[in-house]
Amino acid sequence: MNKNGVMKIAGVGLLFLGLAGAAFAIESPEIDVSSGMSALTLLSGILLVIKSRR
Amino acid sequence: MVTRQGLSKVLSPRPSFRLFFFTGLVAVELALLSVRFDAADLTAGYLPLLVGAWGAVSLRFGLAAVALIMLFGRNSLAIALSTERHFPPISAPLVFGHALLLFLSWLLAVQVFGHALPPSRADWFAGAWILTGLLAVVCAGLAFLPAAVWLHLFSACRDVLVFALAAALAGTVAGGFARNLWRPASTVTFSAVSALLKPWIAGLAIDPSHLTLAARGFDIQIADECSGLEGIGLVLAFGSAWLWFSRREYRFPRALLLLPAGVVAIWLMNVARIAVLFVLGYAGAPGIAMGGFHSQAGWIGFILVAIVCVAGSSRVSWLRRETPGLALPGKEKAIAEVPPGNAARATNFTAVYLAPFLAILAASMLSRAASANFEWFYPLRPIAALAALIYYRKQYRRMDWRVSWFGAAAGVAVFGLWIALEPPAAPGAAPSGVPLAWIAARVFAAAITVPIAEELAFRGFLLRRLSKEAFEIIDPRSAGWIAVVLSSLVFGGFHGDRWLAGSLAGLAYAAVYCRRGSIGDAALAHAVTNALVAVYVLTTGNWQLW
Repeated sequence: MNKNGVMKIAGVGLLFLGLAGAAFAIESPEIDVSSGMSALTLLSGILLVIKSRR
Repeated sequence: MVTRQGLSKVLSPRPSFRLFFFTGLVAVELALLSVRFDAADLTAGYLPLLVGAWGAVSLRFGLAAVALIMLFGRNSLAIALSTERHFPPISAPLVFGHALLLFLSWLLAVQVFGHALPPSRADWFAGAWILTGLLAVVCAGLAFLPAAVWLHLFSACRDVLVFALAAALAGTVAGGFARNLWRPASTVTFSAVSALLKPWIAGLAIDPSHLTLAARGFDIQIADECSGLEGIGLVLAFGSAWLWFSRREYRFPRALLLLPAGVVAIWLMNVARIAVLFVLGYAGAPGIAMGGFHSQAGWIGFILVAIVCVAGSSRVSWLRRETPGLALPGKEKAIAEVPPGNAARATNFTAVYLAPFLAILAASMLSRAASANFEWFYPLRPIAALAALIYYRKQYRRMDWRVSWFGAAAGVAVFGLWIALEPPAAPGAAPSGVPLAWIAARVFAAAITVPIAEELAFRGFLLRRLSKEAFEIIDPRSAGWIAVVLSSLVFGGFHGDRWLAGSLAGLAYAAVYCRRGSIGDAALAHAVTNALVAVYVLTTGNWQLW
């Protein structure tokens, strides 16, 4: 298998793990909708600012 | 008056925008359904029980699949859409059909989730509810894009579609299996927290069998959910998506090291979070420990890890490729505004427009983390917003801050609408022991800093950014209606249960902004509304409005 194939499999594998974690993070009682929304908005905004800086 | 050509233009947006709008519309409708109806209420009939058992999992699977298609199939979808020549205007009858079917589906859902149906009829109602819901989605899909285009899209993106469905399925199944890791992960986290606290806390009682820690009458249990696996999952999902989006900027495979580094960092952050939580309770602030800190600290840790990984990796040349800058019109304009030889200090317009709003969000997370039931540190929010406004004061001076009576009148109208849409409630007592300075800070924020920050973010940035990447060169008066509607819906979403009033208010402020292109006018309208709400709260005692 070439390097590109290994990279794809590694990437997909990591994505599975991430999805699994994120999917069941929703059931955590301490993650309420409003604080989650604020946090993800703040993170998205900061990333937009970082991306725009380049 | 809307002319025939104007209406035709409104109903014929770009194909990619139609797809985006359709996806967003269905996502918002699904989110509202899932918030309004609880699967635990489905107790009678075969089909309702099936929905109760598998509904949430199916929803997550569907959302994951759509997110993956959008993430990995963007280019394929764009290419497939660009080859289509014939795009009739959005079909008004089908949009109406969608709304009607959605309404019917909602009425049926009220019956299905309402405990009032006998088991024999519950299945029929549930079947009709699902069928009308699916037909509503199909109707919306056909309203925005013709059937032939959908078939072409499915055919052109078949590989991405199969991959997305397989990945979403695998992720959902893996999520179920991952529960088996909760207990061992909690044990490891418990050991680390115990080791961290033991040298500092006198008389610390450690019970490994129940994973509990206790001292001076305060005790905590490391529950399965506190194992740190959720944070690890979030970091992996975020890290994978970030590396994918920025893949041209990183050197692979070495950039993949960011993922294990992020995992270790978030796990350590979780250990530190639990240790600080215990110390807070031990030191005599159990309300803060188990209240605001418990719900906010995890998110603060996640944001810190994500930002440190992203910003840190951008400075490490071993991880990053040297890429030539993109020649975007906006960036060219930004660079042109600074003297030659000083291009590195070109204005970051995204930061200029978003900084006050982001400062308020960050301050609100910190102040809530330091609060038990009442947010005593609320004044941090206006202070943070003011700091951002002062930092970028030179850029703000160049903006259009003209105000008009129209803006003020719109603010009064939105206030009336806001109160009219508020469900009736008995006036509550003022929070006891609140100093006048706190109320003054609350009013100041509501009438000054929040309107400026939110108008800069939602109208100045988001509304125009939805029209064009180089948003700073867009004249608001030429903004498209989809950008106006979408930015207003997002604005409404930030108002939680008051999403309808928030969305309508967003539309009104957008109308004010687009009328003359003055951000000052929109901020004035918003400020008038908030100031009137503040007066209403203080004079009538309707504290729930705050």
